[in-house]
Amino acid sequence: MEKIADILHAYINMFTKITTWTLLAAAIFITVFFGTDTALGVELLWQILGLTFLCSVGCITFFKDSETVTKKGIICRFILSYLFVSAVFIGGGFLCEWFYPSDWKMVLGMFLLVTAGYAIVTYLSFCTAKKEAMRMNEKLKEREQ
Amino acid sequence: MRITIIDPSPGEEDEIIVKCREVSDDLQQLLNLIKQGGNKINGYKDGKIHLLQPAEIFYFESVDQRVFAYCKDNVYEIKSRLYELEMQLSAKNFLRVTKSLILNLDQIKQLSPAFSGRFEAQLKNGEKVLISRQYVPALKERLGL
Repeated sequence: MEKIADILHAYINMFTKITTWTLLAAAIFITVFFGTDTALGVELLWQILGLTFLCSVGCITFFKDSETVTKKGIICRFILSYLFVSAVFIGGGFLCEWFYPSDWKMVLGMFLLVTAGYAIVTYLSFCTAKKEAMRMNEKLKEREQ
Repeated sequence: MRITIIDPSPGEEDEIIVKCREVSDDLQQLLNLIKQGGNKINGYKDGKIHLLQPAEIFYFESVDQRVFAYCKDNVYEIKSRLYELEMQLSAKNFLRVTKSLILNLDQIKQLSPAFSGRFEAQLKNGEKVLISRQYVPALKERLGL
């Protein structure tokens, strides 16, 4: 039961971060390539939620709790998860017709937003964990005194 | 269960005799406690038994169904199972941090974030051990967070 709660908590955490960035990235992409007075269908929201869901499941699977993982393994997981996230958003974006594949600027824009999103979400996760570690270290010091 | 204490004859060695049909888990735990002479833990190395103070043990690790205690300079085999040690030492600053490792919190020098919710504990002997995501909430609770 605790393990399920742990997985669920990690999933919700990841889903929230990815969704926030995706919405921001969508707003940037639409503003840059389609302007601010563009009419959009409601289906876009469902498409974003669907792809974010898929992406979060993938990321959680790549980073599932394992006790025997080497540095090489960690790097490998980061590369694979980045490729997965790119495939989901660029592939999904293509299927949902978010961009024109013939327009290289749009393709590049998508690629840059996905890369920036991946870097930001990874960085935010690291910062949260670093803060947590600092709090625990303070408590460890208090115990020693 | 009936408990009988017999006053030994002068010169006779103190002895504990257990009369039972089978050695249950509870009884085994009790026997381990008696064998370990209270707080101390029996460590086996090169055919000799060493009485170890829990405070001098950095961590216990289970490897191929065998449990080892890691001290500053030596590694001792422990005849108890990891879950028995966990129960026995839960009130003594020891905490399970992975499925196969029980860590002495007093021997942690510093905690740093690993990836995906895990943490790495640098011990006072320079060794590094991974804290599984599953056990992080228990660690935080133990530290009073």
